[in-house]
Amino acid sequence: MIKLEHVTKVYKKSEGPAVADLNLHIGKGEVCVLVGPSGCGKTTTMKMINRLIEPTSGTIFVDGQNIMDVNPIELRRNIGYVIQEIGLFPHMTIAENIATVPLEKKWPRDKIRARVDELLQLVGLDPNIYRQRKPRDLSGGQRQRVGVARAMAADPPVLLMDEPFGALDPINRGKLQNEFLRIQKKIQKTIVFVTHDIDEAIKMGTKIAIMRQGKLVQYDTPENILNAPASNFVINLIGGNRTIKQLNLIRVGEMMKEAPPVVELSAPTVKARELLAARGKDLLFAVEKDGRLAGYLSPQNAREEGQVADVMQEIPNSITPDATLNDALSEMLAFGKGFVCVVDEGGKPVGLVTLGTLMKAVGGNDNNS
Amino acid sequence: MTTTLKKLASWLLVPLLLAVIGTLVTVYFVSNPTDGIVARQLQYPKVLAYLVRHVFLVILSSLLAILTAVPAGILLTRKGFRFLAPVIINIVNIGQTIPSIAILALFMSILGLGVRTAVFALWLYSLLPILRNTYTGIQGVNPGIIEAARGMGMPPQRVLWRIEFPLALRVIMAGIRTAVVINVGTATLSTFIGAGGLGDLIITGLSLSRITITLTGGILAALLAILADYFIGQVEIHLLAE
Repeated sequence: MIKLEHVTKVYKKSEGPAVADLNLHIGKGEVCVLVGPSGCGKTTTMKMINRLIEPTSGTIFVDGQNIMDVNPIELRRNIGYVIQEIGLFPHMTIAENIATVPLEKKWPRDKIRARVDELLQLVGLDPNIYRQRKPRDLSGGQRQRVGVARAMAADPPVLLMDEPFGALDPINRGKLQNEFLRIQKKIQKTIVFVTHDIDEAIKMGTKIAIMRQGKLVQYDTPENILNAPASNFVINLIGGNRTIKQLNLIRVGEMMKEAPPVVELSAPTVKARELLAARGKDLLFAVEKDGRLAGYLSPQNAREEGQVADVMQEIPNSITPDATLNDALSEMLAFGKGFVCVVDEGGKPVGLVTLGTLMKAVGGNDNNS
Repeated sequence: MTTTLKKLASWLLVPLLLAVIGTLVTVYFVSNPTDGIVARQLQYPKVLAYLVRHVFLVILSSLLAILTAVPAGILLTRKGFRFLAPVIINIVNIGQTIPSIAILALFMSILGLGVRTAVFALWLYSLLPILRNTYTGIQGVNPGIIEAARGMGMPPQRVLWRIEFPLALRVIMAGIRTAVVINVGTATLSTFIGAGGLGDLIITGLSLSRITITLTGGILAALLAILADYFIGQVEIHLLAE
């Protein structure tokens, strides 16, 4: 889908090239993460793809076409572009921001309106609330969502993302990353993603391109980079705890155990005791009438008489199946328990991750590292 | 309907108040002349004519200044002309340091007496605040926002009109406001080159030692400046509310 061949960029005033003889093939539907220390040429590389920066030599193909043969304005309208939150237009409403490219492409009004609403829903913002708001009325995470929606407005096959989640706090960043991966699964865009955060690269990338001083150091899948770093530079970039980082590669949904039996809040504890005994489990989930997770019960809790609601223990936090095992580990550490509950988007319990799950996950990869 | 009426009423409050004060002052001085000289100089048609001339000088010169300085300021931020900016801004800066009366005198010797010279001098004098604010306003737009616009395939012209200009408008309007208010004051000096305006009343009063004539001209000019400031302020609020 995107092909860079012998691409070099030399800035007039600097010594040495910013990007030197770079070759990169990015397949359709792949997320290629460009990662490396600042000044390694990753942003320059990305900006050459939509001709914000023109290469000194070499050729770039997008969808089989040499981009130098395409009008840059046309080219950019067919490549989504997301930058850190400063990129929203502060004087326009959220709807106008998202409509930027469709307006430039002169779509009819009602088609634009429908598309704006569709995208707001896709990124989890209620169109009726947010359509007419200004960027300053939104939180950092919401603004970033709008940024992503804006880039996808005209449904471009390719997205360029320059540290899109860089300005967010770690919790929001993790949430948005998971959400974005969920969206990407649906839309299957070809994405070039720039970051300096190797953990983000491991989590987001189908392939990671590690760059240093304008050169490609290693280009491979996250698994292979973790298991077989090409040089000391890559080892240092990955940092310690390679095993723990592998937890970033695995989704909770792939490894979670079956959810323990559930019991309604209003049920008497006798019922909980029966359930525990019948299934031979040592954990029960307590749920609301509509099936949403409310708390959990251990055999000790169930021993007391009364209603489930009186004896259950509250669950401060839970995760969704698209979170990574690394997220699960953080939750366990924060929660101080050896397990974390997995719930779907509606809050209903769908599974369970325990320390044993994590051990199994890293154990499976242990022999190659 | 009633809300629009209410809005209009609150909007008109300040101009009306200023008009009432101006009218009261004028009526008082005109109907209570201290002597025959004052009575001859202070007559309603005369005062009105001075006022109209004054407003005419200010509006014409300000409009010309906006029409030249805003495009010039924008031009100085464009790629091919950016290198000119320091030079041009400095030249206009130096022009601003020359006292306004000296500019009038200077151009009188070239262009002669009359309205034309006055409008020209006032125009020249209003250029700087507008030019400088247009330039810095557009230069001050966050480069990240401009890059986002370019990166999404907005052609340069559209980036200017949809992004840069609206975002710089607050600063540009502030420059226009300063220029016009200064202009109302400077226009009183047009009397020295025979271009009329409220300055005529001020100077006549001074040379005849009749304070009420001077006061009439001075107070009307001051009220006019306040009105201009208020009016442009309202336009600003309106434009930026969108």
